[in-house]
Amino acid sequence: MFRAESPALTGMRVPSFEATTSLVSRGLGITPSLLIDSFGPASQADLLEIVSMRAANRGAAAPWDDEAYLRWRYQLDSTKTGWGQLYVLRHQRQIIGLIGTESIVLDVDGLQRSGQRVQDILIAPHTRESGLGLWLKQAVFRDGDFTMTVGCNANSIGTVRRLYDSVARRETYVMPLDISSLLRRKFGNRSWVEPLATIGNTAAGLWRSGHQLRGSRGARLELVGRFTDEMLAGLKVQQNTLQISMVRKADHLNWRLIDNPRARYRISSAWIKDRCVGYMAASVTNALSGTSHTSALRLVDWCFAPGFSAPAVSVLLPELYHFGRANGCERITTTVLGFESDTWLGRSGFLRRPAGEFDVLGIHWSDRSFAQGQVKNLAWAMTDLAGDSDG
Amino acid sequence: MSIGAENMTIKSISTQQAIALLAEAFMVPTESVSLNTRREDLPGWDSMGALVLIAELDERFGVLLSAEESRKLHSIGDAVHFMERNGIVSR
Repeated sequence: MFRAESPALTGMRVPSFEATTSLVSRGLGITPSLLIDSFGPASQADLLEIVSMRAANRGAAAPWDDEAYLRWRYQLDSTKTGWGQLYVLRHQRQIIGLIGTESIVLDVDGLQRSGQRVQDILIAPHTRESGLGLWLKQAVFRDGDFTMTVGCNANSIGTVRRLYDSVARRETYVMPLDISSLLRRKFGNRSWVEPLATIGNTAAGLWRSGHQLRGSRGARLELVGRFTDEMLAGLKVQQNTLQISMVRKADHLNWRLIDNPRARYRISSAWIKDRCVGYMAASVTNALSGTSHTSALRLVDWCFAPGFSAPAVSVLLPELYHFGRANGCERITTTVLGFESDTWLGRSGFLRRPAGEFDVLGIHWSDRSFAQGQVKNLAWAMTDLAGDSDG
Repeated sequence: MSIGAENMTIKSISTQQAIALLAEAFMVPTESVSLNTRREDLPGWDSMGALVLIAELDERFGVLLSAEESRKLHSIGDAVHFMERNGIVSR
């Protein structure tokens, strides 16, 4: 179920879109209708100004080619393909606000609902506390069945809690790949560290091998070059599952995971005869831990055919493990929301970590009666694919 | 004391009522805030909290708190003083 994370105080209601429009337009010295007319999709001609605005906000160069990222994410290249839309608000010829969306289809208890996730929200510094950030979100709330947000920061957590119908914390799962480096970082080069790590790594390997042998049911492994709808057909979720999950489509997965200029994903699939029974997608990420850089394999998405999680995991996880080890990764990490009924992570040796304060998923339903109804009781099954982060 | 605004005449409120209004805007129990409570000690006094306050002052009292003025408020005391200067809180 979607467990609310901060139900104690409700406070005053969030101003309506009309009220926010009035406040923001008054602050800018323009009419409400001019404010609305000044908001629209970004074009290629806006790219340099947007890149410059984002760089100024970040205070440092992005570790990726931001212009290439924006072109890919928001259909700002000549191909006009993709699932994203970037909107800008211009005032006195300058962009003072921008907000991005990505189209998402959710399976809600067997029914498909089309909506979006918001991301890449930015306002000009001189407009802080004018209500512009909220106005941008409310402006896109009007599109689709729902609007989702994944992850936040200290500045936005309050907005997320007040603005979205439900806010729940996602959970992080970690599987150590190399016990010796973890022990060395914690205890230094003490004499007992290496022998203990050897015992730990051997025991973990034996446990994984046993787990693999028990569940494979003849499944075989294939690396994925491109997703196809035929391949995904075997993974369809059951109808009336009392849960909410993302609908996976081949063209979306190809765009998001394979054509992504910000990250390279290793995607492997499990097959039994000619049926795909599962896949996993992961990428190597680097992070600063204390004074040293560490690498981790981030499992961003997986999907198993109903009833086939054991054979799928039995061939996919060892492949992920070896890929991670070969790339110097210390651990595999993943962040999920829900999956109460699917315990493969725990069974496979992943350790659950406390959710971070900002690791939340919030959702706003456009249909207000729907938001107050049965949807509150549905369970969630969301991987990191729900978010826009690439690690 | 009453204040005139577009289409409204509102009675002023006491300092304690103003503190309660601010506490509600910033989503904290009234008893946990005082005039000395600083902005950085109130997680709910973020951009959304500030906007909720701006909207509340506009809707209930017809008083415009600009974004620039809002950014200059560093404590509950500053906010109450703003409300005093604009006739919302009786001195």
